[in-house]
Amino acid sequence: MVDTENFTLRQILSNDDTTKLSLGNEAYTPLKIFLKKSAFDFHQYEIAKTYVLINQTSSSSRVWGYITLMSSEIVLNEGQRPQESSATSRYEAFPAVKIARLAIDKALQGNGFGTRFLDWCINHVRLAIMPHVGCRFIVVDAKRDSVAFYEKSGFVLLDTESNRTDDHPLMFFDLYKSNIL
Amino acid sequence: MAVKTSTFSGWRLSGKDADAFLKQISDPMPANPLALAQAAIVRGCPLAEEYLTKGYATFSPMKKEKKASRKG
Repeated sequence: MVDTENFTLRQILSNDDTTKLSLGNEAYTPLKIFLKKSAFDFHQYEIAKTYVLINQTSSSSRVWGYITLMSSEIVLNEGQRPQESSATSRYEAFPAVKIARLAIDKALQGNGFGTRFLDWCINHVRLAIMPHVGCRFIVVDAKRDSVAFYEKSGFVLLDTESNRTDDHPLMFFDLYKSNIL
Repeated sequence: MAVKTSTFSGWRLSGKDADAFLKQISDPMPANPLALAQAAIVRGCPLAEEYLTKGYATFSPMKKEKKASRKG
């Protein structure tokens, strides 16, 4: 039984224990493998940044959850868009941050830690990235059973029939339209 | 057509997907997602500010906070 009272989010370190994350479903094995084998490499070589959840009351640095963020973009292929479309855009591409990975240990699931990660991520991008370099969207290729989770924090599905039935539907959070502060 | 070649790639939208995306970002944001997004901003802002100040953020379980708030 893990004490769920005191957890810290911080950047991943080389000596973090990334081997014990338990997600309770074989479908999530790639999330475990990425954390164990690739997350720190991606982090130190500036490919994608991983933030981990560590129990403050434990002497070990066992990782209980993580989120991996990276620079991304939404590119519009102008040439393939139908001529009869009334939708137009001045921009060929929109800057974005992508949630590449998000996982919470099964021992902590149901306590809102995933929502905490998401809320922190939205605001980290909003405060630390968007005002300085421009960033319109946070995007995620969601797992089908995670769509409702992202919707609860204001993410929306790309509204097409094919996307709604996709195994990994595209979802986005519009930072410009949601910015209230 | 929406294309994403891997978890670590961006999106390439064309055809109906590009049109749907442009329409979504041009139209006013529907009330429910907007309210949820703004609630997420309100909840997460202190966490992000703590992280930017200290280099870490403290997470506590949400359910216990709700219980505590119900108790006044």
